[in-house]
Amino acid sequence: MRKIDFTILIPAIFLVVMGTSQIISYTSGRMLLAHFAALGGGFAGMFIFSLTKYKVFIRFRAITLYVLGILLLLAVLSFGRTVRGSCSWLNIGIVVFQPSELVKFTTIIFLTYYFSRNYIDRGSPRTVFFTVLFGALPFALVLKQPDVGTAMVFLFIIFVFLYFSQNINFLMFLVISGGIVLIEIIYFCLYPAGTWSLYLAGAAFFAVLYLLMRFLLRIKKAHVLVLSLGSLFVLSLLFSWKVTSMLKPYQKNRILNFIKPSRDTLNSGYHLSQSLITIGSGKLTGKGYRMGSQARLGFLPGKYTDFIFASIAEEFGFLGVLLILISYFVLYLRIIKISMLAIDQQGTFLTLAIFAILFFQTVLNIGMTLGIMPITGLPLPFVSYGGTALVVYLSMLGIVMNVGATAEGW
Amino acid sequence: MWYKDRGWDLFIKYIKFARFILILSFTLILSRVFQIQVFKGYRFSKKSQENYLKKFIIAPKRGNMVSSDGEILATTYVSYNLVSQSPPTDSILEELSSITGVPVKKMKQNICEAQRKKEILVTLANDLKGRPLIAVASRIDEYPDLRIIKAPKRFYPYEKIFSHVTGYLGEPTKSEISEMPYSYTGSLHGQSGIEKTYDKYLFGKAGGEIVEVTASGNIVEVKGSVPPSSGDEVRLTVDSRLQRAAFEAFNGRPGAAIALNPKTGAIRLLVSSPGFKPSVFVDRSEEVARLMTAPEIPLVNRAIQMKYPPGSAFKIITSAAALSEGCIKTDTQFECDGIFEYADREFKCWKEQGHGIMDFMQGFANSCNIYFYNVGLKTGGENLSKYAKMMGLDLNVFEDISGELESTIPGPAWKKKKLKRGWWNGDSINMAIGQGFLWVTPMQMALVVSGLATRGVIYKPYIVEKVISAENDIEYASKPEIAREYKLSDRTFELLKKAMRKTVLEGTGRILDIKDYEIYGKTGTAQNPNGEDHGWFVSYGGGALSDFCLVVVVEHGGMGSVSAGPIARIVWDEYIKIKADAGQEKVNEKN
Repeated sequence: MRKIDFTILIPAIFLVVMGTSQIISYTSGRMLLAHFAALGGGFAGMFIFSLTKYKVFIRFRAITLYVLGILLLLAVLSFGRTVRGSCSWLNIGIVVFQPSELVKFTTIIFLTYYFSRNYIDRGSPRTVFFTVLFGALPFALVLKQPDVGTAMVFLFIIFVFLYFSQNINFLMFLVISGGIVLIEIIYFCLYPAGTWSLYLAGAAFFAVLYLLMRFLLRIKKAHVLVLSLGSLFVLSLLFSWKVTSMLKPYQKNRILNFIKPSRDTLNSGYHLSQSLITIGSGKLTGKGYRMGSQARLGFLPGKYTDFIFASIAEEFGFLGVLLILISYFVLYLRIIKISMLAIDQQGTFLTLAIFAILFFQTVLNIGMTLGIMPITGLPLPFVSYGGTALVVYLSMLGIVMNVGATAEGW
Repeated sequence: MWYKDRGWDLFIKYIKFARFILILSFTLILSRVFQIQVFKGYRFSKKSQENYLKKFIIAPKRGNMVSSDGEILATTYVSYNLVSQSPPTDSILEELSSITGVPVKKMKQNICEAQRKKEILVTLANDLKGRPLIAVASRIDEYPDLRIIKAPKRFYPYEKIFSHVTGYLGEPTKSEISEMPYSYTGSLHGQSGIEKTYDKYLFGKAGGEIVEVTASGNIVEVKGSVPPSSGDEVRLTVDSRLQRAAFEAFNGRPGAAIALNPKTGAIRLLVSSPGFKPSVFVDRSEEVARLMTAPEIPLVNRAIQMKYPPGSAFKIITSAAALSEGCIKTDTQFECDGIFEYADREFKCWKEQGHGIMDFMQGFANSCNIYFYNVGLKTGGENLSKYAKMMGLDLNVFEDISGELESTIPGPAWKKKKLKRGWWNGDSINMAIGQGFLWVTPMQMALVVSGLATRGVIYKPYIVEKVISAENDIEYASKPEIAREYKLSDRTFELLKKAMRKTVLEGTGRILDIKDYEIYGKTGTAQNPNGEDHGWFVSYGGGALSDFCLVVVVEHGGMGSVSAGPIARIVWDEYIKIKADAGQEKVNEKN
C-alpha cells in the first residue's frame, strides 16, 4: 500500500466528489450509472497502473498501444456515432466510449518511449520531425471528427515534447510564430475582407526593416534576411488564412466574443455571460447544495459537462472554488515534484506530459468559464461528466504514483 | 537516477519553468474568481435573480357604470385567451388557426410583439368564445406549452348609444402614466368620457404574482401572489330610456342633445350623434383608424366639444336684456316686411313676405328676425354681451367629462381686442338673433335654459351620482352645487316664460304642445356659411315637468322646428311616459 500516494489520491477524490455532487443533481438512470461505473473503472485503473512497473510497460507496450490508438481513431471515423456535429463516440457492444481521450494517453506513452530512446539526439531535425509526425497523426484524425478542442490538446502534446528537446531557439521560434499566426487568425475573423491592408502593412514593415538594416546597421546581406523573413510572413499569412476559412461561423464567433465579450450577449455570447452570472452569484459561500438557480433552471449551458465549474461555484461559492483550486494545485505540484524525483527520463517525461495535458485542460476549462480564455469545449479533468476521460485521467494518476513509488525505491 | 546525467542540469530549469507557469496561472484564476464572486458577487446575484424571478401582473376587474334606472352601461366580463409559453411551430400555428379562426398572420404578429416586449407568455388568440373555446380547451393537453388564461375584458352593452358618456379605453401616453401610479405596462385606461375622468375609481388595483421560471420560460413555482381588487362602480344620473330615445331619434344625423334637471344640475341624457362602438378600442380592431379619420368626426362629443351659433334660441337672452334694461316694453311694436335695411345693408327675416306689425309676444313666438333686429339696435352690443354672460353662456363648469369648450361671446370690448376693430350697430343686429361672432356649445345653452326654469339659479351640471366600492362603501357622492346665480325681475322671468309658452302654443314650437303638460320652448335656426343651417330646440318644463329641461341641436339639419323639434318631442314624450310609469308604481305601492 505504500505505492498509493495520498498527496495525489486525496485531491483526486475531492475533485471527483465535487463533480459527482453536480452530476447526481442533473443526471439519472443509465447516465448516472455510467458515471459510477466510470468512477469504479477509473479508481481500478489508478490502482492497477500504480502497481504496474511503468518502465516495463512502456518498453513492451508503447508501440502496440500507439498503433491501437490510431486504429481506434480510424474506426471512429468509419463507424463512430455522431453527437452534436462531431463524430467522436465508438460503440463496441458493451460500452460506448471516446477513443480520442484514450489516445491522449497512448500518444504520450508512445512519445515518451520514442523521445527517451532518442534523448541523445533530442535536438536533431530527425527526432523533431518524427516527434511532430507521431503527434500530428492523432491530431489530424481528431480534427477530422471534427473535435477542435481535443485536437488542440494533441497540438499541445507535440509542443510539450518539443519543449523537452530543450532547443531554446527553436522553442522561441515556435512560440513567436504561433503567436503571429494566432494574431493573424483573429485579424481575419475580425476583418474577413481585410487581407490587402495586411499585405500592404507587411510590405511597408519589411521595406522599413530593410532600409534600417542596410543603411543604419550597415548589414551587407540585409536583403537575404528581409526576404526570408518576408516569405515566412507570407507563408504564415497563407496558413492562417486557410485556418480561418476552415473555421465554422460559431467558432469565429467564439474567438470574437473572447476579444469583445459585450459583442453579442444574446446569442453566441450567451454562454459566457450566463457562466459569469452563475459563478458571480455564488458569492462567498454559495447558494447551497442543490440551490443553484442558474444551473437548476437551465440558464447555464453544459451545467454538468463543460461548465460544471460554474455550477460548483454557484452552489459552493468562493470557498468551494478555493478548495477545488487548492486540490488541483496540490495535485499538479505533486506531479511536478515526482517528475523531478523520477529515476529515468521515461518517468520524468511521462509525468510531465501527464501534468501538461491535465493542466492545459484545467486552465482552458476554468479560464473559459471565467471569460479569460476562449470557449473551447474541453472538459474539466476529474470533475466534468464523461466516463472515458475519467477512467483515462485517473489511470494517468496511477502511472504517476508508480513513477513516484519507483523513485522511492519500491 | 537520471539526474546524474549530463542533460539534467539543463532540464531541471525547464521543469521549474513549468512549475512557474502553474503557479502563475492559478494565481490569475484565483484572482479572477475572487473578483467575480467577492467584488462583483452582489451585482451578479441580482442578475441571476432577474433571470429566474419574473413578475406577472394580474389585471383587476374594472368597475361597472350603471345608469339611474339600473341599466349596466359598461361592465367587465371574464374572457378566455389562448397563450403560449414559447413561440409554437408553424404547423401548430396552422392547426390552432383552423380551430380558433384567428389568422396565422395575426398570431405571428402577436408573437413578434411579445418577443419585442420580452414577455413570457405569448397571446395567440384573444377572447375565445363558444365552439372555438371548447375545441381548444378539449385539445389543450396535446400542446404542453399552451394554456388558456382568464383575462378581464371591457364590454359596453349599449355600445354607440352611450359611447360619449362612457368613453373608451386605450393605452395611455407616457405623461399620462406618470399621473397614474396604479397603472402597469400594458394596462388600459380611459381615453374619454367617464372612463377617463373616473379612471382612478373604475380601475381597481392590480394584483401580482412572482414566479420562478426556467431558462425556456416554463413556470416552476409561484413564489408569492397578491390578488387584484376590483374597481368601484360608478352610478350615473343619466336615464337609459331617455338616452336611447334621443339617440335613436337622431337616426345617425350629426348633432347633440342634453337634458338636465334644472333643480340639481343632474344630467338625464347626453347624446352626441353619430356615436361609435367603444369596444373597437378594446379589440384594437382596424375600425379604430377609420374612427380617427372619419369625416363625420364620431369621436368628438358634440354636446360639449362642438360650438354652434345659437341662432334664434339666443333671442331669449336678447329679450331678457332688452326687457330688463327697459329698451323695449311688451307693447313695443315693429313692422316686419321681410327685409330690414340698415346702413346700406340688408338683413332678412326667415319669412320672406314678412310678419307684419308685431308686439313682443308675437315677435318672440314667431321668432321674427326683423323685430329682434330692432330690439338688438335698441339694446346694443354691450348689454347683449353682458346678459349672455350673466345668464350662463360663459359657463365652463362641467367636470365629469373632460374636453368642454369655452364659448365665444362677442361684445365691443371683445371685438376690439380680438379683431382690432370697432363694434358697429350691424354687429348688434346680428348678435340679437344669435349670429355673427357668437359660438356656444349645446351644454352652455342647456345651462341658460336651466337658469330660466329656476329663475336665475344655474346648478353645476354633473353626470356621476355616486361611486360605490366593491365593499359597498360610498367613495364619492355628488351634491348639487350652484354654478351661477343672477337676478332678473320676476316680471321679466314671467314675460320670458309667457313668450316661450306662446312659442309652443302658437309659434314655431308647436310640436311640443302636449295636452295636459306645460312645456316652454324656443326654436333656433342658425345660419352658417358651410352648408345647411343648424337646427336648435331649447325647452324646459313647468308644473309636473319642472325637473326637466332639454336642448337639441341638429347639425346642418335646417329649420329648428323641423329638425330638432321632432327629436325634442320624442324625448319629452319618453320623459312624460317615465314620469307616468313612476307615478303609477307609487300608486300601486300605496294600494
